[in-house]
Amino acid sequence: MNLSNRRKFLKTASLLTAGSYLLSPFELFAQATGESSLPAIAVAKNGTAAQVTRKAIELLGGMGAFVKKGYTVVVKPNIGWNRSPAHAANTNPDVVTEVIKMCFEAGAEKVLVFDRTCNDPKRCYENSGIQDAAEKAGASVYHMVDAGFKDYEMPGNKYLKSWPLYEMAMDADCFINVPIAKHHGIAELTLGMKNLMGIQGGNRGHIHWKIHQYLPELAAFVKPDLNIIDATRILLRHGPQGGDLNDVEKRDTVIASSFIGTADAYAATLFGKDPKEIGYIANSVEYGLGEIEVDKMDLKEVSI
Amino acid sequence: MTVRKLRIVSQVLFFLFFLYLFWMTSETAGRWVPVDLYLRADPLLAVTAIIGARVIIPAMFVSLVIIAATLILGRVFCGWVCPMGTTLDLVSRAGHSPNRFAVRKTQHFKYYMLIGFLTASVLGFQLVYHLDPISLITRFFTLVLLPLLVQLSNFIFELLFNIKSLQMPLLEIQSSLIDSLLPLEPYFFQSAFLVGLIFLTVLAFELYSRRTFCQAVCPLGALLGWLSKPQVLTRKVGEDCIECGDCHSVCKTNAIPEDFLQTELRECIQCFNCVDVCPVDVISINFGKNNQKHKTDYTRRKLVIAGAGGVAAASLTGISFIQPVRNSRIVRPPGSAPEAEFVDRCVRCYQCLRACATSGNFLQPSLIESGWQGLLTPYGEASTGYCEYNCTLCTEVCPTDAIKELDLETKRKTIIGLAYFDKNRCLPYAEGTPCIVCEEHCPTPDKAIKFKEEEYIYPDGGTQVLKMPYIVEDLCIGCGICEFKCPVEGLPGVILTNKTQRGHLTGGYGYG
Repeated sequence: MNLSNRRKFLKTASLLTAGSYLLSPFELFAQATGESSLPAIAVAKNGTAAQVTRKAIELLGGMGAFVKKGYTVVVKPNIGWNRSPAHAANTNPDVVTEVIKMCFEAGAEKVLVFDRTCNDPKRCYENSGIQDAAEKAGASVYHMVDAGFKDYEMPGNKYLKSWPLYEMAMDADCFINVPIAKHHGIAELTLGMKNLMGIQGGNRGHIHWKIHQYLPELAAFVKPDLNIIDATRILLRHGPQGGDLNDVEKRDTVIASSFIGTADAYAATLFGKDPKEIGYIANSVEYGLGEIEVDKMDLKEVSI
Repeated sequence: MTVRKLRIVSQVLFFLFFLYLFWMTSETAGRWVPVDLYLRADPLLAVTAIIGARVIIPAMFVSLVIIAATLILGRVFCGWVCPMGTTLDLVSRAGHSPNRFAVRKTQHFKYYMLIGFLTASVLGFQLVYHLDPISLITRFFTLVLLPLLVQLSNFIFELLFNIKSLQMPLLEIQSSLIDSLLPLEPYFFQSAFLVGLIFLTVLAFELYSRRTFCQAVCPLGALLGWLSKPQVLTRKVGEDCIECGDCHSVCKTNAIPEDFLQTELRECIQCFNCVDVCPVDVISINFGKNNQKHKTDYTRRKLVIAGAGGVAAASLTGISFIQPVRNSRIVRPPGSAPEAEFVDRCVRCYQCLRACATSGNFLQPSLIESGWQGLLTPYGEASTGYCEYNCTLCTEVCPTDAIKELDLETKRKTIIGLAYFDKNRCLPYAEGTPCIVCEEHCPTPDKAIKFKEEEYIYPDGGTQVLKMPYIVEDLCIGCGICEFKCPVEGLPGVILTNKTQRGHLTGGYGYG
């Protein structure tokens, strides 16, 4: 991630969020002009996966707000499981494709796609449909190798004080987190913050032991520049890998935000859950990861 | 080009083809020949597996080609095709091994070995895999050579990865070699040491004298030697022979005795060295009977004794009972034949291990956990890997159908074992720590690991509601991913076994 760029963006964005506490969102939209009119979170619904993805990003000011000419961009979908796209265990390849296309349109020089899988990596990359789709869109799809992890100290954190992370993801000019929204046993839902575990090395099973404390700290340290949650179809039960098509529900929705907490909180409502009831989302407020109460969000929703 | 040079080309091509098939074992896509072709074509493995397991194995009928070729052409397989023979030739070329005539005295030994192995297999005990050359070399490649190469290439990869500008090209290479030299997790096999040692011993004998293994021990060579009796492609020496003895000393298998005009056809592997070396060009190998046959000096009495030895070995295996409690960790691959048949069909070629190494690294060669009869048989070891839910690779590559080919739908429903929780180790039960990593990884659509929420009371009186995992027996297929992914260090909190406590479950192809 390009720090100066991120800082600048965060500054604008946090001012914006602060503003939204004072003004109701409607007033803000009505009054604001130019760059400051951009919402903190954008949701596009009822179109093809490509359409809703593009729309959601456009509502946030377009990919150009995040990706500049010559950037090396990391797009990090969820490719965790050896399941076909229909099972809603991995990110929709069409969403990934559209994100990659927009990165190149914005002038990205290279787009890298990878994830640390739970099942056999080759089978996950192939059967998820993501390797094929991403390569067709021009991205470089690589496997995550041991040599690519580096220990990172996380001094500000109370629980997760250090962990090996994938250097290529941390060093990218822009890091785009592209999770799928789905059910999960211990975390209840796996969304944006949980998806960041895909750049973690080491024995990730340990994360489960304090998952609601660890995830916000991981997210606060990694700070993706943009989070795009694929809710084109969501997995309601037997997550995170499913396997039964009856557990999958079509929603045709994509959520985009640079505030990972906000994105996750909104996504939780798609499952009929109160974001405040989900431990790691509730805890994320403390780390400044965005507004988690939907009616207080600086939100722009569009139906195609 | 002389025929001898043609023979060398043939050896190289068949060896490369062997390597190619070995390479292809980890990949279903792009297969145009059975990757277990060399094993299927081995008449000795066919005979012993069919007799030993008392089953007809149609896949092994390919070996009829080798049988037919031997009946007509003699032991061309040994001289022109066998990848083990070629490996030995490479070693002796590198080590400048001499041809020691003394090895001739050991030639009869391999016939005793063969008789011993055959008798044992008649009694239903499989032993031949120890020395069958095709099984031996596939086993060595899988268990020793490939893992070594993987370690080496990993080492080089990691070294070069430190150079930032090389990272992208390296990752590009890694993607294409993920199934072979650069898997993400280097794999290892627990009995590699034993198998490596046996193979190195064979190589050491090769350095002593050329083709010692083939002359003295190889039971396949013995079988082909017998089958070569009616052969019509034979060596002939013209009357102008100057008796220089050059042919006698270049003969790889000591098939030319001191009387240079004679040929021991049972030992001749049609290498054409003698034809090439003859300074007066009086030696030819062509079609037509040759009456000047020499006799390998085995005796009928000793053959009978060898048979008795086979009975003795079989009996020893049979009485070496292993407590069932010891083998409860022996989980057979999906599609495996019933246990007794499985151990007799299996020729320990480890094609299944090769296939599994880059897909789950679940299969390992056993030691004696399943009895001496099951020595070195493949089993699923959940501490090194797990059976990938959407994979049928190991079932596709078994030459003797000890593992029957399964379609994906059947495989997903095939029960190979059952996991259970050790509540003294499993974190939520043992110390009140939230975990259920196992539940996350359980692959069945309706998860076999479920959880119930319970209040945990800590020693200090504090309480927390925790998700406590439990197994639903009817849903568990025994893939072992729960044990493999269990984050408890040391003994896991959830353990894969092959049976329920009441003793029913696997055996007999596992399904239906």
